[in-house]
Amino acid sequence: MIKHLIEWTGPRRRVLEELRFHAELLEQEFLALGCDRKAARDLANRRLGSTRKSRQQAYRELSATPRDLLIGLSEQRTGPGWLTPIVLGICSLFLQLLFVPDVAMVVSWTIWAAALCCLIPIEVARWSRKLNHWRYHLYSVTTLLGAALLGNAGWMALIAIWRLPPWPTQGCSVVVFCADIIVYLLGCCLLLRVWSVNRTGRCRRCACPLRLPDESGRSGSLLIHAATRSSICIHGHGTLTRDYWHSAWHGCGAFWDELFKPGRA
Amino acid sequence: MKRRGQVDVLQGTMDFLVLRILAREKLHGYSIARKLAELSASALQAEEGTLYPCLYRMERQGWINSEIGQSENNRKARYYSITPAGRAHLRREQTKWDSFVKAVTTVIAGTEGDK
Ligand SMILES: [Zn+2]
Repeated sequence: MIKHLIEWTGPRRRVLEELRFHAELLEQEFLALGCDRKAARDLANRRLGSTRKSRQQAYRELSATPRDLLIGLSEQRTGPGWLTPIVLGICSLFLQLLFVPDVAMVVSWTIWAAALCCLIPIEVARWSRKLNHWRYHLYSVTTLLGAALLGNAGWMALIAIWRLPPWPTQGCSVVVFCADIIVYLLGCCLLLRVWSVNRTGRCRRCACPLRLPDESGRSGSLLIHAATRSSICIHGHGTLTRDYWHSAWHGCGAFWDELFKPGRA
Repeated sequence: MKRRGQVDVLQGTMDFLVLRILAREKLHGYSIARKLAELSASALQAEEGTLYPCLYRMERQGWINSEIGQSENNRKARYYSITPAGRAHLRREQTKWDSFVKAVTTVIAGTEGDK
């Protein structure tokens, strides 16, 4: 992750350094022509166009925009995708509990706020890079929102059943209180995992579930001839190959469309 | 900013032209841009937002090297020079470019009367 961060900042630093030097030399050229410093700077800026625009263009060409960092980091992670929001959510939960008296409210949204904050920007970044079809991203975001609503409904139900007061000292034992939170957190983990597995197993174009799984490699083997499972979209949009370490999507044009093209005898 | 009559250098062509310029001497980015404008009689314009990414990419590919040196205004500047791998790449690109130009010229010559 740190290596990725260094690789991201390297080109940015270089571009910035070069553009600054470029502007400086241009300014000096105008100074040599007899302009005063302010006029020289203005002329150099006008000649360069907007420096900000050049910088943004350079970052885009070198894949060094914040969006690229986000996509890169999400691809670098080794743990499952749903784990990050859970860990972040729990951390922020403990932080908030130090200050907010209404624990029921804090607990109910924290995990889901973390999940939405972590995952929606990644979906948006990937969508703007056209890595997947917008339908797939829309599906991911909608189901995540659905899971958040379901999770909160579950929490409300838990509170209602166990009659949890705002804070454990107000007539409720700490054990019951902790048990309640643990059940809720486990539920959140499960929901996020279901969301993540369901989303991974869908076509990146039409968001339909992938079918016809085909297993290859040795089961239990992780490195050499690793167990690999590939499944396809029945609409012919592509194939997903998954092993223990990663999953890769190979998109192809719609081959049924190809077959039923008008004019084909 | 582009002035009237100036054309942006196309992506693939930029690498080729920069390598040609660096094959003659070691230069910093600003001089490369100036040289390009000068040699093309100001017809070609290397946009700063394209030139520097191009230099960075070519350095990563091993076609050019860069080192910090003292510029004409007594400031630290990054000087670029071509590597043997860069020269080999330049030779290959030159051959491709020559045959491309030859093909286009042939087509133009063959359709001269159609205007
Ligand atoms: Zn599909």
